[in-house]
Amino acid sequence: MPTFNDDPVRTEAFLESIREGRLVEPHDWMPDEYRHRNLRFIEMHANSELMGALPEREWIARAPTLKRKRSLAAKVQDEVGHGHLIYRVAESLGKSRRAMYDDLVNGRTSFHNVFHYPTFTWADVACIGFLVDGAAIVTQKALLNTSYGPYVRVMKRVVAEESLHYRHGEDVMLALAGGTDEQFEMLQEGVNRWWEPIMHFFGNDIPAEKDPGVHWGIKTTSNEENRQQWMSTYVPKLWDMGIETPDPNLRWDEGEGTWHYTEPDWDRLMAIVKGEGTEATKRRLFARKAMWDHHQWLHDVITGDAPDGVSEEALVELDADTRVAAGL
Amino acid sequence: MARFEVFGRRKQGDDLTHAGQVHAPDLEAALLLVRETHFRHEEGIEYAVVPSDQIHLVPDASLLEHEIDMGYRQNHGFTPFGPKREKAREMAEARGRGELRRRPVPGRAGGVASKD
Repeated sequence: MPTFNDDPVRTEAFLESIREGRLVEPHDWMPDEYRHRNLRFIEMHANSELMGALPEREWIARAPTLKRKRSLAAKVQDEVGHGHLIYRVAESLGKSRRAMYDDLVNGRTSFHNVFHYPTFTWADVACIGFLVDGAAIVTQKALLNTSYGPYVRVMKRVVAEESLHYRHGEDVMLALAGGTDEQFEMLQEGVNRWWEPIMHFFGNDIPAEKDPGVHWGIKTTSNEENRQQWMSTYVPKLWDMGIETPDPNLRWDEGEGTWHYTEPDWDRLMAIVKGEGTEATKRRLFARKAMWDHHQWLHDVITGDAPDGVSEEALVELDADTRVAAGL
Repeated sequence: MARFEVFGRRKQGDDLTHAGQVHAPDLEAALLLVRETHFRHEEGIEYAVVPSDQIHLVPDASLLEHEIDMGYRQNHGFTPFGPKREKAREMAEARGRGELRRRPVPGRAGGVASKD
């Protein structure tokens, strides 16, 4: 985190106004620290939408029926669309979309832990659609009350679409739970794999008053509140299907009004998001970077960043052999 | 005289939405006229104008129609869930996993099976 020289009086007035519910617009004055933290948060969100499309994209060709293939392809399209919408919001805080994408494919910025993992079976698609999207709905609904106007407006649309993804996920989930013993077992193994990543997803139990995201009006709920809310909604649904949750300490305490659970291994989360991720991360980022680098010439031609004399017309005039030889 | 499309924000946090048009000789006059025409009764906190010839409507609205059923892009492509949940519950019972749904959860202190 860099140091900031924000005017303390002006900053306090700014914080006071967002605590009163005022939404900040791109052309408003804002403390540099707010701009920096908000950009970092929104950029990570946009990165996550884009990277989140990749584990599911791997299953479009392997979807078991045409109905599932179409529904999954539509969901992947939505996620990439969310990436585009949210990158535009991040861009309004002062970093170009191109720079953000460049940082992402070169591993300089991060994205959510749940999109680092490999997928093994169709049950992973069910778990991503139902458990991960369910978790995303909990945290994204909280963002409807964030302090940055353009983010709020985009999130209204994103949350509506995520609810549809959750429908897709629950449908796949119920088909497996209500299917053959083999399908049921496959689903149980999927839930076992995804349990800890989802517990990690919400972050550690940092009190709201000590969370800089809450202080700066970026987040409005604490990590633990989000995790508890997710468990209240999704654990009963899993149990209803006869799917066991892999944490032997998981239980609802009616008197306390809280879920008890085993604390996940936070070092393992840090190793994933701050370290090198997994083999799947390396493979997905490598593929994105290869695509990005390979298509750079086309981008440059369209945006006019190509060297003088290189234009769309000039490229069209090249004969096919020359284009192949030039790797175009 | 040029024509301008007018967009206004009613209150903090709202989208900019189309509010109408004005005719004006230039941008400066357009911005002034908009205030007097569309925003003199506190209809908004902010507005913007765009030259009308810079707005391009999609030439063929039928591009928004679908040749095939794309219900999977809507909730109704998946509902109703009731029968699917019921089947999963029955299968859970048949597999000897019915106990799981009799555990205490929020709103169901224990012993009562859920209905939906």
